[in-house]
Amino acid sequence: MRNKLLLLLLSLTSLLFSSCEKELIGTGIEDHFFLENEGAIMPVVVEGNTSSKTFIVIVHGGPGGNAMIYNGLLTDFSDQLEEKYAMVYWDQRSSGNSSGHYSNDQLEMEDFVDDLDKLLSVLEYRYGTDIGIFLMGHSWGGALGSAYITTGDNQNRLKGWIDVDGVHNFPAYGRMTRNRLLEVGNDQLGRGNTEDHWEEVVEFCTGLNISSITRKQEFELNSFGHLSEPVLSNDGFVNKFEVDSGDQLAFELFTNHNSLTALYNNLVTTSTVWDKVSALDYSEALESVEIPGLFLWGRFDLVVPLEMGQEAFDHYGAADEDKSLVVFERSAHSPMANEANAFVLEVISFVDKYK
Amino acid sequence: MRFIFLLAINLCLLLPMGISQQIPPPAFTVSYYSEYFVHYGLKGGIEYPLRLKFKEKNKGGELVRTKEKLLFATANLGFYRHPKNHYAVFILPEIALRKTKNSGFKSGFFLGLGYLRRFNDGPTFAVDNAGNVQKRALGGENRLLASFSYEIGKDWSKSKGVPMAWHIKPTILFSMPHIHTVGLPQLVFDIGISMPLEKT
Repeated sequence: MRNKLLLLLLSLTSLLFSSCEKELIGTGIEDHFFLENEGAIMPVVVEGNTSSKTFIVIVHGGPGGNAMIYNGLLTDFSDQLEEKYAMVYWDQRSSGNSSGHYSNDQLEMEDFVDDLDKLLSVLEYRYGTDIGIFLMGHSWGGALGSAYITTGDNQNRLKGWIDVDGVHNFPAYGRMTRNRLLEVGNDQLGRGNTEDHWEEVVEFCTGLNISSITRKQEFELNSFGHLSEPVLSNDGFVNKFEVDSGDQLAFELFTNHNSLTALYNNLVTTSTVWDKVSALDYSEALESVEIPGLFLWGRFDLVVPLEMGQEAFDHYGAADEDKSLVVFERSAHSPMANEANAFVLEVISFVDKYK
Repeated sequence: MRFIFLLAINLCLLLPMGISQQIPPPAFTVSYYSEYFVHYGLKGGIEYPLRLKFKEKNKGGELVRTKEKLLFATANLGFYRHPKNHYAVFILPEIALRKTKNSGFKSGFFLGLGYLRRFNDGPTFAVDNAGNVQKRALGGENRLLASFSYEIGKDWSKSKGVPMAWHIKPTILFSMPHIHTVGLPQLVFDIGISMPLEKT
């Protein structure tokens, strides 16, 4: 009797902790694993059509953001792409639900680039060396992606680079963002739209000395950029993006994501990493990149303005026929949310051409 | 912080007091132990009483006990799981101070310091500098654990004569170290029962 009870207890325990060996190649795949590198433990989720052998790695925003929101909340965008390709959602070090332990010194851009490179190795190990990989960097992910493709011969591991409202030039960030906020702010005031908000924006931007914008002022500009999105949405310039409350609750409670951990990681990471990368400018380095590139930008992006995208596109070294800049007229910083269908069509067109 | 300070003061005041002859026996506790309610787990432990003090009131010339204050230590073993994220096993000794009214209503503060092992809930890979991928068995990390809990509950031995008590114990865990910081604060809920190990 005692042996039977012990056996039952062991069976129940193993059931509780078991993670069954899954099918890795097919459609509708849901896979997850962890990448350990230099003290960091980073969760990775792979979902969608792995039999396509085409993988799109999401390089999330931040620094200190998370990848799981693209999978769990921006589903109009990610679910469509998962039908055709395998989507890879990776929480970077000190971001999302990453854990582990390492020093502040291991939060340099080189560390993020090394993590990404090793992630690609694991993807090839797990899904085969015949897979084709595209990088899609959003916001801060645009900086990390730019750093990756301009380091050594990393670009040769990729089929293409998709830059979505990303920063490749930090020293120019404050000036460009200030100029675009001022431009849109004055235009909106001229139209008589939400004057209390835009008066505050214009007053702040006008008072800045653009030759010496401080870190604190850069964060304030960034904050004004984010705060302006719902204002532009309410005034009919940007498509509204809303998450169903049921989807939000399910995402918070029943996925691999933990929003409180992600919030904590975000709070302790953004300014720490920003301080380290604030002098980085990949404009010239981008001239050496030859793989196809797609630059997707929201017209009303006041967080990373179109001028940044235009500069990245102009410097990008691929042949003219292998690079393009697409502007979404009714989008802000996240066109995959504001104009999901149009965004997905552009991505599919690019990926199918170069996969 | 204020709670921790008050608890420390209480412990200091209580320790030198006379040991009551009616100190209760150790008790066994078992709880549903969850990170954010939904990341399920289980915790079992022993409560070991150290000091007992009664508060008495003079009612009609007779001293009547109205409240008891118990200082005790606990030793706990438990686990929780956040599916596809991590599971953790831990050992957590605590020192605690609990007040129980005649009605059986109890409240208390707990301070703990222990050890937690996190396991990645999924396959784990590492890549060496030559690009060789290795699958890691039982990937995860070791952490020092500090905890602070506030408990409310009811001791049925006082209200119903049943030797059992229930509790709800919201807990803040601080597991250290975490990423490039000292530690990660986590919210945990402990809902369970306790029973004396000996007949009183």
